[in-house]
Amino acid sequence: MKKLSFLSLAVLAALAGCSDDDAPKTLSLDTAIPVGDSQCINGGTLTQVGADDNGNGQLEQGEVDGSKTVCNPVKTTLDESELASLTSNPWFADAQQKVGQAQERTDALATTPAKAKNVILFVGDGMGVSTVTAARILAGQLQDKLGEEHQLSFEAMPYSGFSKTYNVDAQTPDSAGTMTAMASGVKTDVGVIGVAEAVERGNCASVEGNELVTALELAEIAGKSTGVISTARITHATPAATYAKSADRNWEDVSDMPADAVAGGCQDIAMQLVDFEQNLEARFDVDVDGIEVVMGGGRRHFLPKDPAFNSADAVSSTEGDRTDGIDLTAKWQQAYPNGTYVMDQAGFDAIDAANTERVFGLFNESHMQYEQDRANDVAGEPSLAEMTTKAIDVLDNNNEGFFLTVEAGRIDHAHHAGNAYNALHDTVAFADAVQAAIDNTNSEETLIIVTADHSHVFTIAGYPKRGNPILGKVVGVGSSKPTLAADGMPYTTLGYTNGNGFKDLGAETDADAGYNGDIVTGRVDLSGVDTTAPGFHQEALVPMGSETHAGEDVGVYAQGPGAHLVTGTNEQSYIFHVMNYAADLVEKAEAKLAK
Amino acid sequence: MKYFSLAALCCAIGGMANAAQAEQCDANAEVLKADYQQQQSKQNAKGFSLWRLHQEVAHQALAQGLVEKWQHLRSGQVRPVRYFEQYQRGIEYQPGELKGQGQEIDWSQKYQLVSNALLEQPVRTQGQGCEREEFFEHGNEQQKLAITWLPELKLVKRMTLSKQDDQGQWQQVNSLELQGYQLNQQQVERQFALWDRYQSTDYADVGDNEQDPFLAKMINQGFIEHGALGFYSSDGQALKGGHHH
Repeated sequence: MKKLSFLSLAVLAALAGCSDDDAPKTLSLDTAIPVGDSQCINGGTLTQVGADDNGNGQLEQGEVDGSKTVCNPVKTTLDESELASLTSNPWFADAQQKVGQAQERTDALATTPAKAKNVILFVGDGMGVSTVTAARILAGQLQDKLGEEHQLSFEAMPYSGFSKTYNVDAQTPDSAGTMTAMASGVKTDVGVIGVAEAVERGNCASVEGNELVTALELAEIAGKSTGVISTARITHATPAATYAKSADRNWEDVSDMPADAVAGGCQDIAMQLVDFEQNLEARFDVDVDGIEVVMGGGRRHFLPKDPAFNSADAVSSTEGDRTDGIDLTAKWQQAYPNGTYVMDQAGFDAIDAANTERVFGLFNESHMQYEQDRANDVAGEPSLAEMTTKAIDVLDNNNEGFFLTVEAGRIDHAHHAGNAYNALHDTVAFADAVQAAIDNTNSEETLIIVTADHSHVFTIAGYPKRGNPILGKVVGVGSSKPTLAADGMPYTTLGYTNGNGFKDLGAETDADAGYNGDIVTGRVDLSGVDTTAPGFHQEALVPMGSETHAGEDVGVYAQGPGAHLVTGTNEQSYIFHVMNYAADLVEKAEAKLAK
Repeated sequence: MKYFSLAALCCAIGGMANAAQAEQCDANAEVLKADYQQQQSKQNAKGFSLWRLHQEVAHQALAQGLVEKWQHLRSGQVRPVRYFEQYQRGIEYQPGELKGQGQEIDWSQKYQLVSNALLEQPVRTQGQGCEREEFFEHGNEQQKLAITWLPELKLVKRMTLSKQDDQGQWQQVNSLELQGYQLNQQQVERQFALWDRYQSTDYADVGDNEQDPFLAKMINQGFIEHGALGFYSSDGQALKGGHHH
């Protein structure tokens, strides 16, 4: 390649020939044009010519008769010394390496469908982009890094894009409508589970004819093993959208349903989970073997309203809510005598995953604990990463592969309570669960998608210096003292647009404790408050009983076969179609039905 | 405040004269309803009922139609449930969710309206059987707390909190007076069953249900303020051991 070098602004002058007569001599003057010149972007030479009228041997501006500009040719390479300031810079080097890796991935891209034997869909409930960013910084700072440069497990995945989260009837969505879109490929109304938008919320009769088919159901029909995990109640909106059809997300057990819905033949969500196999078989006239792994909270929706059925760590005098007298845990055990029902850490630890056909784990009467509150659970609960690992160990016993959905349900609850501490720690735990899935699967045959159902009104604000504690007060660049706002008081980096607002509960690790007390929106003097403590609840602007969801897009991250389709900004229903493309779920299910 | 005979109360309300007048008290204090009148400073007196059903206790604010139920769990934790009688709705909490400022819930304070820590050394006793009374006094230069306690029934008969004003005069700022009690197990069980049938919402789920008109109204009413029921000092703090000695 042609090599060029930079020239300085040095002026080069040359005298043209001389003669013995008195006529003025003709002089020419070459001036280097610097790189970046508007006429010659790569530099060049300006040659001026004229007569030396005053005979001083110098071509002065008044003597110039003509000029010519010659621009250097376009510069296509730089030598090492010219690039040294760039190539030795770690930001430059790292990014250059990433580009190389991305190009290699593109070159090696397998674009054929049906390459994924296994599919895992991770959903961080309420894990908007600002939550991911703040959790990334927290995770880094927990490892004694500055934080900002850290990557959560799923942020290292090669492909990513955005989902538009709105529901068919709502600009800002809820989990029921959004998870239905991801699980079924069809956007629907707020508050309904697994049914299309023609349904009327709360109207049992309107369900018929609007039932959607989910990726989990297709995988089940196709002969794959299936699983659902959540740290929320397993009957809560997000996990329920994978297996249930309900006109109302709150119909978690029969006692939650209006009498006319029960009389109309609608099943509560807990019953649908236990009856999943027979319902699917009745609907499609096919033989399936049911969901192999179910783990989460929500025991109360599976037990009769009778203290005789209380579990060891019941938090109510009567744990069960069911008013139909049915013990669904017993019903499940009867249907699956080889299955293992567990309700605490000891039972979970005792599961021999390699030789276990089926697991039903209900670890809490209601939602499972926040990750930071988990140690306070009476009977003990597994972490989301532990549940994910165990689930994969059970599900991968099937040579046909598996479909698994994993939800971190309490990120959302901590945000609703206005408590960033627990929202971020649960997001870090969620990232740990994703890493567990990466570590326990083969990336060449397993598509892993990580996303959120919606975001929250959660902000990262001000101008904190690099490495400032993400849960702390804003301390500006070059300063060691908190920056003061116009009202003379310090403020936190993290905050909420609405909600209950400020609370200082010190070491309290249960985010929901923040609901106790008056709403305190607006500014509070935080000078003497440890805002990094578990019980600190960030300030909020608009007073509301509970902080709300937000309507902006959420991130989608993917690796494995078909992951390259996760790109751009798409409707949330797109995720189902990526999973279907990757694992050929519809084709395989139809083939099974045709037999 | 009017002082009355507990025996008369029993006769008039519960038909328990024999039990009350006997040397031994055979009453089952785990299942009862007790009616109270509370007077805070110059505010209108308000009535509320204390309900007990074994390891559950409820404080029913009659005028507000607000009920706070507390369940004492085997783990030792206390789990609150709030009922809104007008709406026949309830909000269920996890143990610890209503600690408020990091304080653990004192079961005895909920169960009998006064903490066991304030009932350790009676200054005198009188009566017998269910009528046996113990008198407790606590205080300092700023405030005094006087308690008349029925140990067999685990009920406060009378409790007054006085404070010294700027002129050095003692002013009664809060008083609680037992109006009567009933030991009708069927009635108590019926009432707890009625509350239990109300549609309930897990507190963590409020954020996902703000379109629910009841929840929106409940939040706007600011129902979560502590000190709505029970016996509290004039600054809203629950009276517990150690704070007023």
